[in-house]
Amino acid sequence: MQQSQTHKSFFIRRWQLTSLISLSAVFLLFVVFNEGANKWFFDSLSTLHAQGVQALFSGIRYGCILLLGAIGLSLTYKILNFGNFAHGDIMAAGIGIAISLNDIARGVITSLMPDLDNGARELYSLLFAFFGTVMITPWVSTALDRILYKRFRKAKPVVMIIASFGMALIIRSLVQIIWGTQNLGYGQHISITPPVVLVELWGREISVRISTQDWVIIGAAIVLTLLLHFFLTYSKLGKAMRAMADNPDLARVTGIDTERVVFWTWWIGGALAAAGGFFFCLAFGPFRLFNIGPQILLSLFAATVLGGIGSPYGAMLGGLLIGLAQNVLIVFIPYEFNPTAWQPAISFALLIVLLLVRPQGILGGSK
Amino acid sequence: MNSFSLIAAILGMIIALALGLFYFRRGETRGQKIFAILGSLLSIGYLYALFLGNLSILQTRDLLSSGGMLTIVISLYFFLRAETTRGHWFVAGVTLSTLGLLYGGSALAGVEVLSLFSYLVRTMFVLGGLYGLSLLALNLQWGYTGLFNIGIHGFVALGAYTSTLLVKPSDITLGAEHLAETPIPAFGLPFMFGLIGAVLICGLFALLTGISTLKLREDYLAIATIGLAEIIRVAAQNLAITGKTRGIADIPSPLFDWLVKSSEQDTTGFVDPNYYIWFYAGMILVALLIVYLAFQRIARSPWGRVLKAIREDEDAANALGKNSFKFKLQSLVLGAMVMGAVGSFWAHSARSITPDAFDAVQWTFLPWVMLIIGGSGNHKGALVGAFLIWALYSITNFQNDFLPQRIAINIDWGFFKWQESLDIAGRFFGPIRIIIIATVLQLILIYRPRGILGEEKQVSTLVKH
Repeated sequence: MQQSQTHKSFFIRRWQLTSLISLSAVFLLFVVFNEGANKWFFDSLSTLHAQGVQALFSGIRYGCILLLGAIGLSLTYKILNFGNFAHGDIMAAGIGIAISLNDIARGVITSLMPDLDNGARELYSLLFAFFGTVMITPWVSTALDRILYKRFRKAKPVVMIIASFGMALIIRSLVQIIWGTQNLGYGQHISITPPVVLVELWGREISVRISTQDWVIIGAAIVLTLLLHFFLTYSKLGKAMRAMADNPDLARVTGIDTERVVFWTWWIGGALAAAGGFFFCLAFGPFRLFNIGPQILLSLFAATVLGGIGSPYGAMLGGLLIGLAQNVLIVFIPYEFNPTAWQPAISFALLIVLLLVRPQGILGGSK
Repeated sequence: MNSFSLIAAILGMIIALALGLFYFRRGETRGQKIFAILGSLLSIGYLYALFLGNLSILQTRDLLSSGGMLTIVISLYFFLRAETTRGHWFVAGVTLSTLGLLYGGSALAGVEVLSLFSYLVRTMFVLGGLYGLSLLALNLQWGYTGLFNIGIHGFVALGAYTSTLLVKPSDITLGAEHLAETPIPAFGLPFMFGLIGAVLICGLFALLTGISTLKLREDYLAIATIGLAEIIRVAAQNLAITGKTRGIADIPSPLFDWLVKSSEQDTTGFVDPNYYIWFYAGMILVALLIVYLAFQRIARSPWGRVLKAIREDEDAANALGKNSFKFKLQSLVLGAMVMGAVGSFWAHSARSITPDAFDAVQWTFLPWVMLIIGGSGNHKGALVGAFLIWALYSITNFQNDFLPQRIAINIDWGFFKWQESLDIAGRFFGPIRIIIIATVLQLILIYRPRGILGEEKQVSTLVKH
């Protein structure tokens, strides 16, 4: 019966379609006949025309960062059946570790190789920080599992959500204690000299700021997601992971060591979160570190649920969409309302609308 | 140290000891005897520190307030546990004696007791009472119906802003009026209308949230409520009508002009401005009592039993012909309305609100910790948890007056150099409180998942015992 229902409502139901069409009709009439709304709409359209390519690009960049975090959230969501509210703060801890490693490496490189030029020194120390945080941060998330979440395997999901909410606050407080409350980043030396690329669009030249870091972020996100895809599809552990996400009891019966799978799930989730955090700081740093966790967590949840809980590919798609939405849709918010502040709120509005239409997410299963 | 304070200290400690022994002999259960001993030890320790220690005025305030809070919280627990009338009188007696010793001793030592007592009333009864109210609401949503609402701070903020905008008279300036391009509408209604408006708006928002998410899996409601709270926060920070990030100042308090004698010429007022808060605390405690009795009645009614049935097994409740969606929606809306009232009460007691005041830690995480620790599904437990955790949270704030604000670090081991003037106050005080509370939560979740009081067994009055 469930099958037939899902077929009937493959994407959208009739009443939803009707209400959508009538709402858009009301909106259009409003825009056409109300002068203020008309002005707002066409102002927004012209802004979109002027800044659209830039917003699109920023959206893809931010989406690439978000999808790295969302994959880990989605994996643990499916395998352990709860939303881990500490994920954003694990990401913040990853950023902190990367910043410290970067500082240490820069100091060591300066003392060991004094005649190295600035660019190479920064590159080496950043590389060291990236690989360091990707190797160290996962142990934070696995330790969380060993210390805390393991005790709640048989408990209701909500108990685990509350525990993770508490754990998020503990990590956030530790981050504040360790890294303080001042703005931190990879140092002022990072070359933020954005090369301006000219794009020809509709017979008009539009300049887009695309720096090298942006290409690095997008490229690395593609490489990491491909690696994850091959891992999940071809390796034995990846297959076990997918089996366990599908049906934990059946997986246990077939002889899969579920605790081992859980361990590696946390490890991979932590590593991807650390990578995402590293790029987040590369793109938006310097900032106050302890604020980052809650801020990014909301977007991560929106991405995970939007893509469909438990599907890593859905999380990737959701991350990209949320990143795009946050950067493109703010064009419609008038300047005096401070558009950038509304970014997380926009993703939630989008999420709630989508939940009404398609509760299981874009790529989610029937359940 | 003069001879007077020595004599007073020794005398006070002897009285405390005598009272402790007196109550110890009259206590009925082991718990009550322990309570008597605790009260006695607390007053002895406080009197010792007061007369023989070298306390600053802030430290005296902190110690006195923490002693008072601890007494009230522990006595609340024993009061609710006591089963006989004599037990209730016993607990009341111990509480009054302990408070009397604490405040009487301070009065002897020349401390301005009344203003310090106002401080206690503000922290314990105004804020504690507000937490109690939001806990009753959260308990209805989570403890009875199983609705996972983690956007309490959103509803509280919504209620606070709605009430403020309705009540604020037009001639009072907003905190950020110069930032606003458009004139801000002001209604200047009486407080009652602000309260009702806050309740209705919160109910409306809860209704919309519930309609969109209550038919889905349970954690979608969590995401929707936290998202709503985020939207409300951003809106409050960026809309001209809410005064942007500076918030709104000079919010009128109910009956303030009528009650308070602000100057010699003021003919209607008869209360000193410092003691207005006592009236406010009374109002909140009355509201708390009303909501408590109403919710207790609701919980025992058929409606409340349906909620519990939904929490335990929604499919079974549906199969019995109950429209679980409708019941869940009603529970969510009712709870959110009480949260809106909390926001309204809070705005008019704090008298100025900013978006940052409604942060998730203080208005969502803390209530959740209170509920888990007190015992969900039990209104008494919810109240005990609210006052207990609020007292713990307030007491940990007093570290500011006892610990150094900055520490100079000067380490030089050749290969490792660390020289810094470490900002202890900004960097450690806030996080340490949160770590303490969160650790208590985890321990309770692991070792006593049902909370201190656990769930009350509720049987229909029609069933014979």
